[in-house]
Amino acid sequence: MSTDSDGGRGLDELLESELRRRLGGLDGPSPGVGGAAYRTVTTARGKKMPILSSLATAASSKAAVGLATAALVVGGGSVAAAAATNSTNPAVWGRTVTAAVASCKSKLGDGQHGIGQCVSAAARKKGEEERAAHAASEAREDAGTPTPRTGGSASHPTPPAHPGGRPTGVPVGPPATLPPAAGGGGHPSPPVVPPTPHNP
Amino acid sequence: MQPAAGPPGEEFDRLYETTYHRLFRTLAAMLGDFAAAEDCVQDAFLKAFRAWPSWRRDVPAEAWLHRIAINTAISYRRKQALREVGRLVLRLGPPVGDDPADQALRGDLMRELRRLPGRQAAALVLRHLHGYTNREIAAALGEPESTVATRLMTAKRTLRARLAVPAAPISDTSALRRVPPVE
Repeated sequence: MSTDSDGGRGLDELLESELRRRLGGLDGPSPGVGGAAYRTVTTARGKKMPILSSLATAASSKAAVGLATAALVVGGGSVAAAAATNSTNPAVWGRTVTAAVASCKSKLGDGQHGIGQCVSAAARKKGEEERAAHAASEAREDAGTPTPRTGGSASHPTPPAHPGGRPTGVPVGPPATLPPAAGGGGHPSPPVVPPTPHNP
Repeated sequence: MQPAAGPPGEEFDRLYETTYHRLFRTLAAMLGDFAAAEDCVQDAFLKAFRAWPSWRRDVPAEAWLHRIAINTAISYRRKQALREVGRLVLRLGPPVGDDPADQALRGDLMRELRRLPGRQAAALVLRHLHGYTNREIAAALGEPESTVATRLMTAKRTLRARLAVPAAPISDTSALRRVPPVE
């Protein structure tokens, strides 16, 4: 492939002719607007989101609904509350879950019982709203637009400060009893030796 | 500065319909792979949809979309390069042969275009395929116009060097015969 003696114009013409010849007629396998990926993003009208984070998946499972209900009964349940509200801040769980309980109770008719599913759905919705806000923030950064760092607005709430340390109610350390070792050919577990007390 | 766009709606759908093919062609030239170009274009529109409320109307919509798409393609190229290194390290050998559908993307110039750094390749495609001015390229790449001019100049210098025809061998004197005798 040769270039003209004046270099510049020859290469420009070569680029234009080659690019137009090879790409000018390309239309790509594009689906119509209806099949575009962005069409499945949640809108204000509440369509489904294509992105299923592990938290959203857990929150939508029956086990998570049961956990959230049990957490409310027990009055603690930080793990379920964190999963449902997508926040490790106990202050957030308290507000979200308390508001959801009050709302769901008010919707119960005479003789009706059970607010577990209602509360779980409210907490899940709150979590999805938070995730959408975070996703929009990440998308703005990809577009080269800095994420606003000034105080939150109605549409872009500032997330609450996360406390340090482990949420309450989550067990620390290994379980008290270990399951028995699997059958004969495996390696035997070493005996558990208690730590030597330290005498200063 | 123009106010930000409102929530995406029919305007975004129209933008998709009118700009999709141009974005696809840009990314196909940068990536040399139709499937990858399609994935990256869809990903770019998804990001643009989410970031739509933050788009300032003083930047042309297509240039703004190109910026997102080019960044997406550059990230893809980077990950692809890491994957190739991994394959070589694991001695998996070179990748399986090209998709015949990518025939249009073969050829010396297209190959050398893909070897250029992402933003240089993008600048060349925007100029010579889409006819963007330096100002429009600057908007698409999110860079000053002076940087765009430098990128174009560097990219063309590299292409000229890589695509130049090699010097004729000594045994071939046909070129010498064409030189008129000195009087």
